[in-house]
Amino acid sequence: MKLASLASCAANFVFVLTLLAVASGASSNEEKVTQFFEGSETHTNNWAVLVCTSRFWFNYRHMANALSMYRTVKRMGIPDSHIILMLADDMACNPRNAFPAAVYDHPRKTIDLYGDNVEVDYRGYEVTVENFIRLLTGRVAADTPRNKRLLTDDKSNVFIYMTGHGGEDFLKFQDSEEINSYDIADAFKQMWEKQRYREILFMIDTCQANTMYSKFDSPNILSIGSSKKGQNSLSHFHDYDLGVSVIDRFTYYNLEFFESVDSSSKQTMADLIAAYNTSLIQSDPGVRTDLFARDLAKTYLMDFFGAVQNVKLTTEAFPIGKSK
Amino acid sequence: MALVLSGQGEKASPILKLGRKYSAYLAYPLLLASIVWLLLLPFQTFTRNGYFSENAMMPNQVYTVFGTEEHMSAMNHIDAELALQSTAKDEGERQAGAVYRAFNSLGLDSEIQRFAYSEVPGVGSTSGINVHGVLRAGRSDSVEALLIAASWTTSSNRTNINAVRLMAGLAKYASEQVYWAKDIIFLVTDGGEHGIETWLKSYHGGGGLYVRSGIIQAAVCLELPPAQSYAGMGLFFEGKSGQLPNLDLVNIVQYISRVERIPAYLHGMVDAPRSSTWLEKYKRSAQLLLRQVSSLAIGKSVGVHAPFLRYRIDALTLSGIVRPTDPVSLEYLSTGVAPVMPAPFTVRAIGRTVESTLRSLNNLLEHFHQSFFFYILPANERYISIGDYIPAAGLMVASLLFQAMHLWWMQGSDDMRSDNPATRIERINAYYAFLRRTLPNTIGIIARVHLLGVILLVTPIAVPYAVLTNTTSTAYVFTMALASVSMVLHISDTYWMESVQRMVDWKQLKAVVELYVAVVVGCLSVMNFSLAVALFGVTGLPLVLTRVWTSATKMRRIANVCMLLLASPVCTLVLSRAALGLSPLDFTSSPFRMFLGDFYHFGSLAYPLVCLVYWPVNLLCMIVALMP
Repeated sequence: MKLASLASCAANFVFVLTLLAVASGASSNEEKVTQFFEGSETHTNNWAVLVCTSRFWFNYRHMANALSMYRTVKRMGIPDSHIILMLADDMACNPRNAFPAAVYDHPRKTIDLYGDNVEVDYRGYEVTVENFIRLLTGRVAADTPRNKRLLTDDKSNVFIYMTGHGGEDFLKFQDSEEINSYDIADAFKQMWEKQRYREILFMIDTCQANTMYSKFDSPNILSIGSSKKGQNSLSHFHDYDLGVSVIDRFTYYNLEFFESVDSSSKQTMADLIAAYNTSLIQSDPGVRTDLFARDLAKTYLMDFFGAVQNVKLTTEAFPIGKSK
Repeated sequence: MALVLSGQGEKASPILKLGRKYSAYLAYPLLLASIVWLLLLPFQTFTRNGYFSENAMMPNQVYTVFGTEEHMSAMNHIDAELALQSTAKDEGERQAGAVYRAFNSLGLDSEIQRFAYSEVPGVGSTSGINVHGVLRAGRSDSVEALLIAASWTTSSNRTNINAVRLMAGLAKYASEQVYWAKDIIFLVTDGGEHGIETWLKSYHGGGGLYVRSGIIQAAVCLELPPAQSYAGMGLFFEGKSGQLPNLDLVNIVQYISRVERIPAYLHGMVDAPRSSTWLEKYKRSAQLLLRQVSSLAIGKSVGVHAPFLRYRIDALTLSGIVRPTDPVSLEYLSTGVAPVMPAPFTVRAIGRTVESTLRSLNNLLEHFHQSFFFYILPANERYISIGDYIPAAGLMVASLLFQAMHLWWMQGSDDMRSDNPATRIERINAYYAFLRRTLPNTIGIIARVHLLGVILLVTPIAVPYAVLTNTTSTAYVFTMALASVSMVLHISDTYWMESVQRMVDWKQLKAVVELYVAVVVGCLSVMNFSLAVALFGVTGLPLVLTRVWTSATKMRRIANVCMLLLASPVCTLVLSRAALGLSPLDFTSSPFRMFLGDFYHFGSLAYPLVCLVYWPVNLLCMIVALMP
């Protein structure tokens, strides 16, 4: 059963097929395979859900936030098939954009976030509270294409990043509806019940962001918010060519930290959190660890921001095919 | 009827009894309070700081680029086109042709619109010519547009060639940019407000216009009289019938122009310096408010933005302020020819102000709706919202209503109001008989006087030759005035003759007229506060003060009628010439004719109000004063 669910993990697909062939052979091999996956302490696949909930030209920075995060997790190895990118509006093609087809998160404009190979899974008015919750809980319509499904299992580490306009216990979607902290807590609970994750890193950049994770009550969730209750989450650079602010402070300083991180990095979550400078971010980022079982100093960034290639070196030869 | 009866008898509720007791004294304090309220408005304490309500606008958050050589050369191009030999039969055609060619060469979709209009309905015909060019927003879908407009002559009757030049420069600048989400329409007219109105009517389905775009979201009108440089800009925003652009538009233009160092002052008035005394500040604010109120009440402003507001397009006019010593301006005034000065020194700053404003408007996602549509502005970047000024109108209306209530209770003879329960039935019978006798006469008097008002209103429309010129319209008004006086004398004389039983009661007449004025002023105040205050000033105020004595003597009556003559339409129309900047005895421009024209062309309310409310109520006041 659990082996079958592994088929969803495209990265390990071929490997799994081989193992399945082996596992059908002998019971001792089956045990070994089971041990390989279930006995393992670590997760076997990584997913990222990146959500920008705001539309309109003057919210350019929220699109840039999500796209910057997208670029980062992709650089660190999570493939597009494992990234669900939700963008409530299209800034690259907005006629007001003085740099058509490009989105920048810095007035220097060295990195075009929209340059090439961007796969937006939910766009425009598809970004709704309903679609977001359906995505998380897996209750999507049967004809939903694969790129719009979160095909996680109990071995998945999921990074969920949200940005937009929010307030105490809510985040505005589009210009018409909002998701509240209870909705997200409930969705995570369902995910846990359905064994849809192993660990979640929930990161949110919005005003009063820390209230958004206050209602979580499912295990193995690490939450990071940009600002405490009553605080605004502020924008960073203003671009006078575009006429808009291009990124938010909290996201910007996260990204700045990630610039020194690559997929082989052994940096931990504790390092990231220690790097938060409230005088630069101009708000008080919050971290909620009580639901998270592991020590942050032993939790690698790559557990969430990178993709695992679950390779296990064995000291003895692994028997393949008919044993003697 | 219960209210009416209980007022007369012992069944009155305690509240009514209280009202009956004090209503006589309440009218004057309320009147005074309303005047004090108005006088308090210019104090800075009672005003608020302007702010931007609409998030999407993001004013002044871009680098401005207007003023490059290409832009200046596009401005020169207009002069070159104007200087070309032309076979055009008149000046208008020649100018229009030049602008048309200049717009075309910049890649705008251009069109010439010829039209004719009569200033006063049915009288004569003036021809005009509009040219407009549409800059298409390449990456958008032409569903929304912004507009820049100029008339060939400024409100001070000077040539507006500098504004047309600037428009060519701006068209060049705009055509170089990729970031337009809305089309930009450049419109040049030689017919002033009429030209704009004709164009707008055609644009909004009237036909006869082929080069079109989407819904126009905002318009900026330019007036740049010949000058070497401008000391700043005047910002004018008043429309017809009290219409105003959204306060956000006024605020962003003021803010942007200040940053571009060519501040747009409201009505061209610089604020009193910070160091000045409170009295100076008060006087400056009061002056600015008075200008706005008179502008809104009369429906005349500087610039050609007013017709846009009728089509729900937020619009304002920026008018260059010329120093009195400006050499170019002086030369123009003496020779009548504008020296070729394609780019006055400060025109770059004005161009950048318009550029930055356009970019801000380009960011708009929906029609202006966040900020106030009703306001008066006491100083630059300050405002008084409707909630702060409307109580003054409420107090005025209350003053009228309380006096009307008191007069209604006090009508008829005193013995109808005794408290004796024994005579209750007789009193009620007497009261009904009284009402049945007097009320038809009261209504009759009001109807007759209003009939005169209707004649006053309809004649110029039915027989346009009555107001063929300013002189004939003045003669017409005076003829009507004579007719009115004879009517007043006739009506008031009629009721002196009978003596046994009063067929009319002045208290009843005054009460009914007060109710009427209260309703009109009350309704008008939420639409056009300035006009409501003006109307109250000339009708309500004299009405409250009419026949305030208890016993009428000849001298009192004469004094009262003199006051009413002073407040009469003829008198104020003559005096308002001064407000229009004309000599009171100069008949070249008749306010009556102007009101009529505005009513006909722009649906302005001043004309029907003068004919149907102001004029009749003034006569009714005289009748009240002269009645037995």
